Amino acid sequence: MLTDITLGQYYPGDSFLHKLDPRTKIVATLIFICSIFLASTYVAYGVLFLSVLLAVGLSRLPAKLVARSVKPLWVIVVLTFVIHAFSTPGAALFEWKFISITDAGVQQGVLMSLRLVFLIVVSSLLTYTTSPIVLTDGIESLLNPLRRFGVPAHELAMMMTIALRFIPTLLEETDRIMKAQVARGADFSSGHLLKRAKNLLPLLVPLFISAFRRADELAVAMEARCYRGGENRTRLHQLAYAPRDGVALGGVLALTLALAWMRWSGL
Amino acid sequence: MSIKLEAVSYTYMPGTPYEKRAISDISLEIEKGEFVAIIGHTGSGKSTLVQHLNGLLHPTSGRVLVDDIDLAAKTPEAKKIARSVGMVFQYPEHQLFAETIYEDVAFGPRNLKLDEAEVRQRVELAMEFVGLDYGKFAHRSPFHLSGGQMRRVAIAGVIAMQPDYLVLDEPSAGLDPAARNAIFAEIVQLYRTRGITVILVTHNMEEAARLADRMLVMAKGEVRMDGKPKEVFRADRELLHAAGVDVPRMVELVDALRLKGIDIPEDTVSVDSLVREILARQRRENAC
Amino acid sequence: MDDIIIQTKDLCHLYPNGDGELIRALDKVSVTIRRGEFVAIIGTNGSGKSTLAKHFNALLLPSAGQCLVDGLPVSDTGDMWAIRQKVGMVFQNPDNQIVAAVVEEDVAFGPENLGVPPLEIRRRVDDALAAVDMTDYRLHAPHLLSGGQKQRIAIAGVLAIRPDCLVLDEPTAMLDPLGREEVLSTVSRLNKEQGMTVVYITHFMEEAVFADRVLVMDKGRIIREGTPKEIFSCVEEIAALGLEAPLAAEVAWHLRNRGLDLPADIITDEELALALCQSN
Repeated sequence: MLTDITLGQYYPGDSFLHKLDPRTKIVATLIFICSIFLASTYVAYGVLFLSVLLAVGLSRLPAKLVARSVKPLWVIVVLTFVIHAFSTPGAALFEWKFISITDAGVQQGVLMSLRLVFLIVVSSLLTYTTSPIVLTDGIESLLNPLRRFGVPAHELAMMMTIALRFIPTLLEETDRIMKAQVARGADFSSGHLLKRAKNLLPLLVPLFISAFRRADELAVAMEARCYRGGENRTRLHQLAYAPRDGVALGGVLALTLALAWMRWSGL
Repeated sequence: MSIKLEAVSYTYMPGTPYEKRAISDISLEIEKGEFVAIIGHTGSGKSTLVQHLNGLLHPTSGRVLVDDIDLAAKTPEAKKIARSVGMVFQYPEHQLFAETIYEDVAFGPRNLKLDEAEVRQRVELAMEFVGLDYGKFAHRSPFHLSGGQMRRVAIAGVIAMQPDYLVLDEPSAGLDPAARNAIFAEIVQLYRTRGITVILVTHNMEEAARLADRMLVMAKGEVRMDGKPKEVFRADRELLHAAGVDVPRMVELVDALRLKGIDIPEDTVSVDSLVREILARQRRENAC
Repeated sequence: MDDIIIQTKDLCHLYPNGDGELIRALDKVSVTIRRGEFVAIIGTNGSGKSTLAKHFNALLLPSAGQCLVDGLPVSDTGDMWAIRQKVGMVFQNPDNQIVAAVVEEDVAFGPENLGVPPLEIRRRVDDALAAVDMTDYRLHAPHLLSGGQKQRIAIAGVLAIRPDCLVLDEPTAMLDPLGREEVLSTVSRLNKEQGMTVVYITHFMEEAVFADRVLVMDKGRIIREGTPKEIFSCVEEIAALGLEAPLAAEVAWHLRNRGLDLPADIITDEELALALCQSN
């Protein structure tokens, strides 16, 4: 049942993207996502498309895998297209009662859905090429300078680490409790909404109790291993920038500048 | 009246890279009134197997018939007959959820759509069976009990369904010897007085040998041995070892004694009979 | 004094239960654990053995009396971190003490907390994983390991702190026979080969047989103390506590009761076999 879900979509490898420092990848991804919104002309979209292709190539991931990342979100992509196609004023291509599709609408719809696809592909490249633990390290390190403004960088990272560790355990537990209650005749799938919510209690109550018990025991175990927050902590794996990180960041910045220039010059 | 498995195989996550065959081609029949122990180490497929017995899992291939009804059939009869197989999971106290012990034990009977008088009667009976005084405990919270007591409440919740077949997955895990013995005494009592069919999944060979009249040894998703405890433990030790099964302490002791030339029957399984045998032998020798 | 690692003097621990009554979990417990010893603490659930163990690394503080670790009182909060470095703890549920989603990251957790430099952490992690024979699994995800393997990872996580003493609180209660065997042999190897002091809490009597010394607890008190032979030959007393003596001891006891002349200290199969041969 629930354990069939495969979590964490990290795809091991040693491509250029895999070897990049997680901080570089996070920052580059953010910049790339912003630059997607700079594109407004066909030429700009062409450049963007080529850059995404280049990035996919550098990741050496199977094309099928990358395509699959769009699959869970295809409804949103289609919806984006439909909304734009119907709501943008312009010359009508098709009219029926109060519904009309315009040429500008179709054009706008295609471009908007393309943006979305780019966005999904680029961010999934990040998670495909970076293991969750390393990603967490990267986020902690990037947030660290914000600590003086009260951002609990270490605590956030520790929470993510523990969540990653316990999600499979809790899914297994959910599966087990669910089966136990089904064996006692519980029904989790029929009835109207309110009834269904009430029916979930025999699953949710034990699950919460178990999660709290685990949290409690984990806290004691962490304390026993001398955990006392982020102060003076060292790390087994230290993050280090390499020349390729400069190349990657430089590339993404160049792309952004090019797109910005195209936007202002109207190319 | 029986549970019958016909060439049952089960594969987790078929068609993915995580595909794993948990049990393969298992055929067996458990007759009503038997006390069967299923032993095997973790990952031998015994948990997957027992989840087929009440339709929590349906075979990838093969059939499971309870009282001649196929559990995979999507009929009301199939659903109903699946309810006649009660299932006590490992650490069943983790499934408690209600505010009072009464409410928790009543959960199953209520799902059977029984009227409240009948529910109440079943709760009383089930609590009595696991040795929890109804007057004293019924309206207490299950979460303030000791671990052993919580487990009894959970077992009562399954017994209250009044199943014809009762599957217990490691019911003594994590308990100390006193609590363990108490739980087993209750299961045996249930077996004797109610004529319920018991299927006990366990690592504990002593218990399996002492309680069950039939034993299935599982390894790598297959049933490797099937027979009376005495036969199984006296069978090929190599086979038992390959299955990752420990022979009971009693068998080890008898072996150690026989190795030193103390002539006692190989199939002695209880302390009482061993003591009797040794004394009888001692007397014989002294008489010479 | 130097060879004593843990010592309690009239240690009491009281806590309020759900109904507001005070429960006396420990009642004037005095124990001494020497360096290099393997001490087993046995008792039924609720006998106070876990409560006692939690005092050994300052997870609980005494209500009255004293608990000293390497001469430092646990009640002095200033010494808490020094104490937790000297006494490492392994708990019952292997799932609930592993922090990270990769084995070696988890083992590194302790030294990271202590601010050990990265290269030294690497060395400690490698040593600890080798000591529990889990080097091959260093990049695995813990949730996919067996119970026995998870518990060995937990032991490695404690070893990486480089403690003087290892306290294990029912480490095998949730494991299958293979897992129990793995954990017990790992612990006894650490004791024999590296001279690690071990305090091993269990209700499996067969495991206590491996100890140098056994403490029996009941209702918050230490009621008996001795070698495994001394403890387990009192079959009746052990049974009265709701525990089980090893099988050979039990059979020998029955035979003695029926008039057979056997030594009182039989606890293993071989000893029983030998004694029976000689009694002829």
